[in-house]
Amino acid sequence: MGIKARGSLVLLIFALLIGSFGVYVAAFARQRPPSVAVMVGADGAPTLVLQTVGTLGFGPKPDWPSFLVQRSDGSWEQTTVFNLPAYSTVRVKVLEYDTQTGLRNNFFGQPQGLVDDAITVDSKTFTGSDIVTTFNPDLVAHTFTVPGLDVSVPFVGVTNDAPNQCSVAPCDESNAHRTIEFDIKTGAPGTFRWQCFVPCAPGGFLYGNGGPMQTVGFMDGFVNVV
Amino acid sequence: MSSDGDPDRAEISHGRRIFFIWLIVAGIVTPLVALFVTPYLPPGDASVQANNQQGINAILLVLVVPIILGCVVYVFYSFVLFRDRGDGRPDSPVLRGNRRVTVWWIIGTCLIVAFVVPYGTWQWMGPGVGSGSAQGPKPIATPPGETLEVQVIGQQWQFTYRYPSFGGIETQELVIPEDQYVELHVTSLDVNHSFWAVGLALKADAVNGADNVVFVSATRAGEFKIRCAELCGLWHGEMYQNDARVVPEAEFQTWIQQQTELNEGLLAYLPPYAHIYYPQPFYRGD
Amino acid sequence: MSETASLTSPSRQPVRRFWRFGIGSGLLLALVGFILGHVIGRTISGSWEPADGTDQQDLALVLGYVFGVIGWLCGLGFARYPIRRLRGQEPGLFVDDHSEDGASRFFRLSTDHKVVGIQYIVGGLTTFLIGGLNAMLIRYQLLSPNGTAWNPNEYLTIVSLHGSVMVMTMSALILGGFGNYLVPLMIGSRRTAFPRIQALSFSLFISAVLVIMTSVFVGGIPTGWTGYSPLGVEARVGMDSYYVAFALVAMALTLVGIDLMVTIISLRAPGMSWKRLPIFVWSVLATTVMMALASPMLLATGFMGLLDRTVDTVNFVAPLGGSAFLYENLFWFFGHPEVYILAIPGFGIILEIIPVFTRRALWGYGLAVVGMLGIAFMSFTVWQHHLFVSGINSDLRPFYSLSTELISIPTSLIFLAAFGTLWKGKIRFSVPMLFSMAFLSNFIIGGATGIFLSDVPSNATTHGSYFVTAHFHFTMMGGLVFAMFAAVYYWLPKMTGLRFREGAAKWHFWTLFVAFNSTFLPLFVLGARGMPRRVPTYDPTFVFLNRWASVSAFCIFASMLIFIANFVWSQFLKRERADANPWDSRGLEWQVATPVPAHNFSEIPVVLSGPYEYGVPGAEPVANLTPTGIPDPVDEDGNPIENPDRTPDVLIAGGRIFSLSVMFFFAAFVFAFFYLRSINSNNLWNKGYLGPDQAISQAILGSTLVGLAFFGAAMRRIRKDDERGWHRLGVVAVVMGGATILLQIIQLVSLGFEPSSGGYASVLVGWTAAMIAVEVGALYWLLTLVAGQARLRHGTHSATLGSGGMLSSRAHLAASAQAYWGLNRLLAGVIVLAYVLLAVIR
Repeated sequence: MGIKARGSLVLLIFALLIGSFGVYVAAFARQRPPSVAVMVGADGAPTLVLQTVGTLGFGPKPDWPSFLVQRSDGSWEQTTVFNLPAYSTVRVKVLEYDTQTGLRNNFFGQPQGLVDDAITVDSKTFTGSDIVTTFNPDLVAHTFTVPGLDVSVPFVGVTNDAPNQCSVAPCDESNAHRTIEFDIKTGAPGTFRWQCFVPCAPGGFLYGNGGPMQTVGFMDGFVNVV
Repeated sequence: MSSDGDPDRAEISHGRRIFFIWLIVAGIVTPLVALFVTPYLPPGDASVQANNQQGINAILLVLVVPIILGCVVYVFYSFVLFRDRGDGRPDSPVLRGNRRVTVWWIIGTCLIVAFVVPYGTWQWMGPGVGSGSAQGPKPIATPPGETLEVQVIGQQWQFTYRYPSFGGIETQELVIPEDQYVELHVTSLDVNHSFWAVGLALKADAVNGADNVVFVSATRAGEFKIRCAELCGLWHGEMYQNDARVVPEAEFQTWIQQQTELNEGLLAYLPPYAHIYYPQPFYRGD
Repeated sequence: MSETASLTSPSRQPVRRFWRFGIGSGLLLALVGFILGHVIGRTISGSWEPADGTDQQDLALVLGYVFGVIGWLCGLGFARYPIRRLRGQEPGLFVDDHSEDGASRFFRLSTDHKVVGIQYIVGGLTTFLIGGLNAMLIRYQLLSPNGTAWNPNEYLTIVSLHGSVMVMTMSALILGGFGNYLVPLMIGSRRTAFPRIQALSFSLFISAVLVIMTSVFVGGIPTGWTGYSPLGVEARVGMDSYYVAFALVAMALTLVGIDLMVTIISLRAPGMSWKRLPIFVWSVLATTVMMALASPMLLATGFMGLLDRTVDTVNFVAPLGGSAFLYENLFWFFGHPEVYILAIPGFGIILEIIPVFTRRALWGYGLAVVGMLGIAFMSFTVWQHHLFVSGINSDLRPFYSLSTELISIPTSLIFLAAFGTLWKGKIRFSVPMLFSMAFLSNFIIGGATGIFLSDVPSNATTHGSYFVTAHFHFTMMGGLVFAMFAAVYYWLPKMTGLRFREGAAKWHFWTLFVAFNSTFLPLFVLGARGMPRRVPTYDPTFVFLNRWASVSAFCIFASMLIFIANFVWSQFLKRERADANPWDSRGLEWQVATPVPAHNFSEIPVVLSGPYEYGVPGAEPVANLTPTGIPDPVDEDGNPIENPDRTPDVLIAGGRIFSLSVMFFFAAFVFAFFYLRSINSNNLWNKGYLGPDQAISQAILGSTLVGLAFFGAAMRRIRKDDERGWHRLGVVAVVMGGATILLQIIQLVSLGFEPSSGGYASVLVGWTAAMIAVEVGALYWLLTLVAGQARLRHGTHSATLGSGGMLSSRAHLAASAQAYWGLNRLLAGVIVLAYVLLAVIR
């Protein structure tokens, strides 16, 4: 082979290598779940509306549980990255459609770091750890824990025998659900990770902690305080 | 060694020269290191165990520095003086070995080992009370007198702590009293984690089904950092706490009181205190 | 496919045919196999659309990989040998590839050790590049404390891939590449002991890298290269690719180890005494000891992990009767010899190179040999120093601290030999010499920091932190990678006959050396001050050092670009011829022409003196390449005929070492049995059920012993050269072997309890499955013996010595049978032990 032919072959191989490396990097750097700015509620307070579902019913992982967030136009987005305003009190409302699973460590059955230490479940307000006497930790379906903000909130689940359970997200309020409301305070800007502590991964994952429990976009995410 | 006259003398002078150069270099650098580096060696002196580790790190460093310098001096000397200067003779004098050098070398390395291992072992079995290195369920080196037992529970992806002598309450932050031996029992609820209290120099793997004991006596009040030192999944890098603290005894009692009140409702739902937990679920859905 | 044309015709032309076995057909059949495996997996588990992460999905993927690898191997042409052997025929070669010059011979199965060596080197350098690119992605993330370049999951996968690919590459590259190419030349042989097996090891290595890279499509690997359970059992399906890939690598390493060890023991030229063996060959020998004995343990570990993930055994699941410590112990029993597999060849390379560039005999040759062998044997006694803080029994720690420190003594002997060779030498600073010196500098830093890690109190500061990362990068990268480049620059002119550009090579060296030290020295400080390993984010106080390390890492990449450019330019584009012996070395490999002739030597040389006799007055040349002046006779394929025929020795030695490897493989299960039984985690050792069906166990034992007796009787006939009865006895042995396998399968299928019911069940399932797998292989071997002997008896088989295969004569068959007999007895022993432990002691 003459030098020209060899040279072009070398260039071709390099192009292929760089191209495949580019594909590899792109596969990794694929889009994170989009971040959703918190809505502004009726009285001007920043409000975050979430729903948690037991099975997504769509997408590449239809049988995985997930969080969804409501956009300002009322539609739901499957994402776990939220933008919250700094130095403010954010109202959080959660529509909890998933059935109870129970915690691995019942310590997370009580709320931590909420404003006024208060949490409202289905219109009943509890303070401190009173909630565990009414809704014991085995009835929890998910938690929203942001270690960086010292916040941890258990989401009480729908009972297993509730009628009209939702199986395809986004669910609407005609399905069995619990409404959970609480307030959290944000401080200086930063990015904080959050996770769910209820091991609800379906499909035979050991300890229930695999799969969606370890995937950003389902049961883990980021809180961007901006 | 060659048996000629002149090369023999030249050879001795090489060896002596290298030795003296090394003596001077090591003689300067090692004390400098000992005086100015070792006080700042990690892990510091916030606890008896940290102090112990720092001391051993210092000794090892002071031991290792002259050894490395010796190799550096020898090699650079060779590069300068034993280069091929193109003087016509293609090959070097034939030397296959030197019994004296070999024997002293082996004796020297054996002496180093004979010092390092027993010294380190004596330190953690004796004054270090484990030296911050976890000892498994049946620790050999235990502190005299009473200890405060605190359990460290690792789970994906946060450490929580239980205080059995205060009713088995569970907390999210680790607060321990100063100047008192604390017996930390480290375990895990799921995968392998590792409890690394950086400032107090403690490291204990948290393994499901195992109870890993490490002793610490903090020497002064202050904050210390906790990191997870064993890859445990998605948030391994975020499994840390910067607000763990050592406080005076009185403050500790106040804090415990506070936590007990906060925990009141929850206590009934926590499992009874044990050194190993096997919480359900083992597998989920199928 | 008319293979007969090439066997009988004296022509050298390869036969043109429509279908050519090679990398293309390999990939095609790999794809077919992968799909087939998936289909089988889904059918077995009964679910066509399993949810993500279910055992069904794991099973389908694992079977897909296994069948894919089998398809890959078939597509490359490896199936031809077993099929022809089972028919009692000589397999022959496809084409006489020893005389083919084209580049295509590098893309298919080749029995020429030089071709396999170059395949390993080029393939290894490519996978090294892949691993290095992953490292660049890691350092890019770590440029800022809250890096957002990659999702945490993806970052962990990148970290795991970097570690796994690098470990795989460097384990295989030196011995597979330089070992395969150089060892036969250095000892005066035309081949390694088992040419097809060495080609097989390369294909396994490539398939392992391909398998682990596909993990990015199926969820990634969250555990790092160590694959710790239970995270490994908990992880998504990408973890299966990790276990399968490491199982393949374990097989490849074992095969390379056995092949090279037997080569060195059995195929040395006349006059090549142990005292004249080049130090590189000694290092290969020391490394192969560890490869052959430790790698089977990795295979067993990966196997147990896969069982945990697919059929729900609980080997590593503590609440159900297993133990995370079982994985840690089994893994590190392999893992520690593995890192010495990564260190000793480096020692061998630089000790080989330094005498050439100081023009002096290797000082302390005997010391270096003792050092390497000492490290090799002692490496099996130190593994628990990885587990000091993990909660193991505290009493053991002083012992392991001592054994770890003791290894520093033989290691220091290597340094002594290197330093002694410099003494009053005539040092010439060629590029290989520069890399060798840098090796010494880097390794001493790595080794010295190892002292901190082996000391229990100091270990508490540094375990699991970047200090460990820096330590092993200094020893493995600063050591072996630098030695690899030294070897590349030193030996490639011999292998390809082409020169490197010296200026670019020196630029490569200096930028790499400076950038390397600049990258990893700060990591010691970071680790000791509190930065854990494998984290995508870190404390903001560590920003400066991390940024420094990242920028330096990009400089390492830049230096590699210089190397790639130099390599491509000099090997592909410019192609300047190199002299036959540009370094003026006395080594035997340099005395042959460049490029090396197809069969290395026209006649086997007689070795006259050692290779390091520089400056010795009146030293003889290293070997007489033409002792009789008459080239060796060639057979009908143009391959020289061995005289004396050493194949029987090779077979017997190979059989012995293979049996040792199999013994270590099963030792893992024995260890698991005793360990889980003594721990009795959560009281679930054997809760709720009795031992396996006694009747079946006794039947298995019985059929094993009967088969053993029959083959033993056959062996007596073979030794007396009596053919008549041995055939019949052999057939009965085959039948009993098949019966044993069948009974074990029945035992597995008809278990009265779930594999997840406890530790005992898991060990039983794993051990039985492993026994079945090994017995199938042994049965294949026995069938080839019986078939070969039958053909010999019927005279349809030439009794002359040919190049095509091992069993071309009665002597070969007898030797192979002798080797098989050793394996047969070992397997029988394992089955008896299994019976005693699983059925009696429980």
